[in-house]
Amino acid sequence: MINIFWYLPPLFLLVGLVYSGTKYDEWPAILRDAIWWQIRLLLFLSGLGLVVFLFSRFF
Amino acid sequence: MSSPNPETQPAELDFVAGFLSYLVPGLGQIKRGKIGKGILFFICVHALFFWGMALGQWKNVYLPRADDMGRYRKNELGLGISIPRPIWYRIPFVGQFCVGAAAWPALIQWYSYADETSAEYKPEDGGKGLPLLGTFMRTPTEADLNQLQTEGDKTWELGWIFTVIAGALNLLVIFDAFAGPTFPTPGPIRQRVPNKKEQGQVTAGT
Repeated sequence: MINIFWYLPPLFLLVGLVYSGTKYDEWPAILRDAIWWQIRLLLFLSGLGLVVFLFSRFF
Repeated sequence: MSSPNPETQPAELDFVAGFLSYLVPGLGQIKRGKIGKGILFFICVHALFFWGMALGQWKNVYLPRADDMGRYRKNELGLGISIPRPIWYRIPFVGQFCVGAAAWPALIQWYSYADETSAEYKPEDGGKGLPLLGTFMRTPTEADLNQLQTEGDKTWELGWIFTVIAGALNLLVIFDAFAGPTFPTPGPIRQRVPNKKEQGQVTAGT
């Protein structure tokens, strides 16, 4: 059984592609926006994970 | 007040394309001539929906009869507003329904099979599937649900959340088919065609 966190990257990819696809019509813009969304989601959740880790470690 | 930039005027509203994208995600975009985007939406939304179903062992998209659920929770919101009991009992189905025709087997099962939550439930009918659908998207028994939620890991819950996310994404897809993308491609500036009255004035003036 794999860790459920491995489900996140494909989820980000699918959500990012659809969301970006509804914003633009041209493929370069869609792909650029989708990649940017992957980065933002990854940074946001990593930051959240870091905060939770720090709380669990020091408080 | 500034007038909208004529280079990025929104696309015309297309109700038929919107409805087609509800039925099958991406079909409205294909109808509008955006075939690549249509295929992208079709693959992504269905991949997420069926992946979610697979994570839930194909038992997380369903609509129960919920005839007797009043004793567990009230479906009255006050002011005379009440939500149909099956929806109230299984609110995630509202999101799943937004995926379109892919979620309709649950409605067919709801209509044709009296599950455990129905007053007409007959245990001997449990194994009988419908001609084409079988038991696909049928309301699981309470024993099955208890087993999935207590003995499994969290994938059953994660699975139905994925299906709801797919439904929510399809709302964006429907709107894209209906009204075009949020940031339309700048096209050639369309000159406004003068109406007949203006044309007459021009003719009279010359």
